[in-house]
Amino acid sequence: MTIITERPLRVEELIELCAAPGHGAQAVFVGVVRDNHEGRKVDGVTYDCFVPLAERTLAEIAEEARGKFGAKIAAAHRIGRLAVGEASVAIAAGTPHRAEAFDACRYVIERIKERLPVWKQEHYVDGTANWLDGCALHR
Amino acid sequence: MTVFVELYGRLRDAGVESPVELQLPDGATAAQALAALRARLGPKGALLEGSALAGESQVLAAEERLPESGRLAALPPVCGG
Repeated sequence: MTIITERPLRVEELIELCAAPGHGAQAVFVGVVRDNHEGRKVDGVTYDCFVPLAERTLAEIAEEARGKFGAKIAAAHRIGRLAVGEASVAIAAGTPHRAEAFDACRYVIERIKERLPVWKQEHYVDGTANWLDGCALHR
Repeated sequence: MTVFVELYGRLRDAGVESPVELQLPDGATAAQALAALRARLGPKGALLEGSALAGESQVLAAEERLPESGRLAALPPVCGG
């Protein structure tokens, strides 16, 4: 299960969704908004998103992780304006053994940063804002 | 053909309203649409550096024809997570 949402992320639900009787491991990665970036004090981050393509891309990434690591994946990315400390992305991976669970989480977050059509606009405490650089999409 | 291209990320600071209406030749490609969009943005056209054009289901290759239906978006380099 994968989702793009404006609502606060609920990690417990993702853990339940990646559970299976044959799994001996569940790994979770949560990305949160931090209060600084390159020496500037951050007040919050707006996540912009082309939703139809993002929904499809996140599902594809989760399917790739299932194929590579045998993992059951549940992942969610939040959009809209978030405050410092709020979760922007959460990934849960269930696998028979721990190594694959860690690897699957790492795979999903790295592909998200490379391929998901999402953009961060940081808002600083001085009232200014800036769109962050990222990875160019190609096909 | 008339298409409407949605703007995301830093392209929202281009000073034009999203979506941008473009008049293109029938069978136009993604590269043609991006070129027309760059012309429309004028001095802000440099914001398109590194951008791709996408439909609802995939990023379009430069030489690929625009889909006949669905939304189109200009996507600057991404930075989710």
